[in-house]
Amino acid sequence: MISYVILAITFLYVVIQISLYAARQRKPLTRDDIEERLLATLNGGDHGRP
Amino acid sequence: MAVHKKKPVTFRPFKAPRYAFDNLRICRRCGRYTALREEHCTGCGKSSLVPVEQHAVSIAGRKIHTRLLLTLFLTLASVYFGTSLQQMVLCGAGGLVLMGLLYYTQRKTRKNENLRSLDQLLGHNIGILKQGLEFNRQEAVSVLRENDVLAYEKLRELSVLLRGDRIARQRVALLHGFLLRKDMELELEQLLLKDFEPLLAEYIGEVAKVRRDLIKDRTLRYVKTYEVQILQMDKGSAILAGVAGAAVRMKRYALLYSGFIGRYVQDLPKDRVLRLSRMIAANPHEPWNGLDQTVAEIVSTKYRWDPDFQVDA
Repeated sequence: MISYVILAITFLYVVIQISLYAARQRKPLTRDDIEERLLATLNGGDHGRP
Repeated sequence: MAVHKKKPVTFRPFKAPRYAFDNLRICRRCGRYTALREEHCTGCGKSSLVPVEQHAVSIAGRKIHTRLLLTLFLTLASVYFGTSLQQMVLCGAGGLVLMGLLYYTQRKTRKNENLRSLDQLLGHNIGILKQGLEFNRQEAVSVLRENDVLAYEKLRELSVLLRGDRIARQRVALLHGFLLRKDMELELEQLLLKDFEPLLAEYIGEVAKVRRDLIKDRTLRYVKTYEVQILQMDKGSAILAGVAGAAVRMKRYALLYSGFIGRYVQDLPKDRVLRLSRMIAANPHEPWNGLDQTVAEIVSTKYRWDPDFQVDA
């Protein structure tokens, strides 16, 4: 019985992990997004000058 | 007044990276960030600097392996606690199928997970990152007296990430001491400041002489905004004439800044007036905003007998 309980926990764990991966894949990050965020944080959201 | 002698210099080749974080490295030992090219970490002295992206990929890889190992551990535990052979086989097979599914998903989403890991790494460590870049800036400033070229090169590398006026102002001040040449890797748009800076105006004037192609929209807007202040400078009108001459390079700029060019057209060298007059002759129906008349007057007073202008007439 314990072995089935552990298998069920494994199943749940894998399902949660796969759902998380799939959810993140639906909104994929790009290098441009990361660069934009980094520059905005480093330069106080001020990219350009007049 | 002391005459400031400009120094002929050669810069190391510099190629701006595609992404600002491409040159950013992190020390695997102490976690300090650097945007400079040093071989050893300035924090711990070890040669354990790795590109941030590589570091993020290894973090993502570790997470993936941990999740797989946890699944394997749970599978083994379920097999271990099985009371019959059938139960053990069932649990083992079920666990292996689950592991296979997880592994397949991880492989499919690996690229995105690597980028997420990079985003998290930079986001969570932003304070340490800022601190590292500040150390880099101080390092550049500290070598300023002994080696101003090296200081400039370091600031140039930092400016990929730090785009504020502080670094730009320091770079402009250093560039003021160098003799600019056509073959140098010069920048202009990246050095434009929010407010008026005479050294920057001088630099723009120098660039207009050696690299007209660097005078673009933002520079023209800057010069137009601070035209009055530049005119009050020693060689202010020469700077403005140089910039107006560079703007004649493209029809778009000539049309957009026709008023500005018109104010300095009498100071333009012959080749620039010739180019402008040919441009106007080729596009007579464009809205020149009076520039066509000003050029016609200049041509008739200064170049009436010039054979180059006779051809156009």
